Amino acid sequence: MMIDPARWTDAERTAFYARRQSRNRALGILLFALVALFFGITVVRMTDQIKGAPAAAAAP
Amino acid sequence: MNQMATDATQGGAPPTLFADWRDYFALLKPRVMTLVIFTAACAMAVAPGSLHPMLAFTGILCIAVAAGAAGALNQWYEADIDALMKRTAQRPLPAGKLAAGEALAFGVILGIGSVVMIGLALNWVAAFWLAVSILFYVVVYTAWLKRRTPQNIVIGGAAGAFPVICGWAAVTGDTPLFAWILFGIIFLWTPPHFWALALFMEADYAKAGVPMLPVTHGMPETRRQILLYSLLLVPITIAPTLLGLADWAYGGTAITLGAIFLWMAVKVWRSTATVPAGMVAEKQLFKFSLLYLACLFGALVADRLLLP
Repeated sequence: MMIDPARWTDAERTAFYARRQSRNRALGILLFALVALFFGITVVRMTDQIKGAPAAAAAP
Repeated sequence: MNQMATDATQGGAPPTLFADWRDYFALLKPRVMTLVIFTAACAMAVAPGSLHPMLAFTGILCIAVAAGAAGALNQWYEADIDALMKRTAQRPLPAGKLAAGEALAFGVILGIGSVVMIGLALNWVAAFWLAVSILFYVVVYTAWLKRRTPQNIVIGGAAGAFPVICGWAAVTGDTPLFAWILFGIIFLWTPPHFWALALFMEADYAKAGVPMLPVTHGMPETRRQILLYSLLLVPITIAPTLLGLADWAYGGTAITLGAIFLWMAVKVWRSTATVPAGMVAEKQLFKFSLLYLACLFGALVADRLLLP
């Protein structure tokens, strides 16, 4: 059962906004870090495949 | 106390709009995660072969996140007994900062995400062992053993040991004898470490109804078991050198640290203290066991990487 936001005190409302903002910031940073990580992994894996391709092609 | 906390303590569904990122972070058991990351990273460093730094970072990150996921699922399942123990009463769930469903969803998403990611970025052998480590900790240790048998720590110790297998497999794609020796070191280290803690936290475990060895078999038997497991632990730490898998720089460290560990275990065995305030030897062993494992794995990395 969720408490009706209309019954919050001013202090509770302020705390709610502050914590929601902190959660949203953390989530934003996390998503950005994941994008950077996936990009980095993709570059490394593709580079490995490109380096390996000539050797594989030259193999009998 | 605000309305939300009041509502939570009165048994209603705890409203969680006040949770912030720190509460989610606390679900990951960051202090436990530290040792898991360290041992897995050491296994990655010791394993033959090399990884691109980006992939090595991804592997360690996935292992850390998986450990955190297991911690979150553990806290979700154990919220009732956590609320009864001083050491754990302030965790986010018993404190009413997060709802059980949120912790469950958080743990499941992180667990699946870490396994899939290590599988895609590195290899599926590592992903398999990572999934095993999460399931072992959550299902075998937390849900099955912990509340049923005083052997919970002995078998559950494997959960903390799987990350080294995973770290090794991330580099090589297989799990040879050396990796399983590292597994064995952590497996045999776990009982003396946790039973030393359980001795001076016995009252808490008894209150929560957790059948830890001091609660079910008494303190003298626990002290005897600590000594027995310490006697098993030290030889396996020397095994890598005896089998020619590590040099004597590691072997010397293992023998020296092992002698200190055994000396402390003997002190615990001879101790007759029954109240936590008097359990100096037990507290010393608990603290030293953390340093012991860190130094042992550190020496192994130094032996493999720094020496010719």
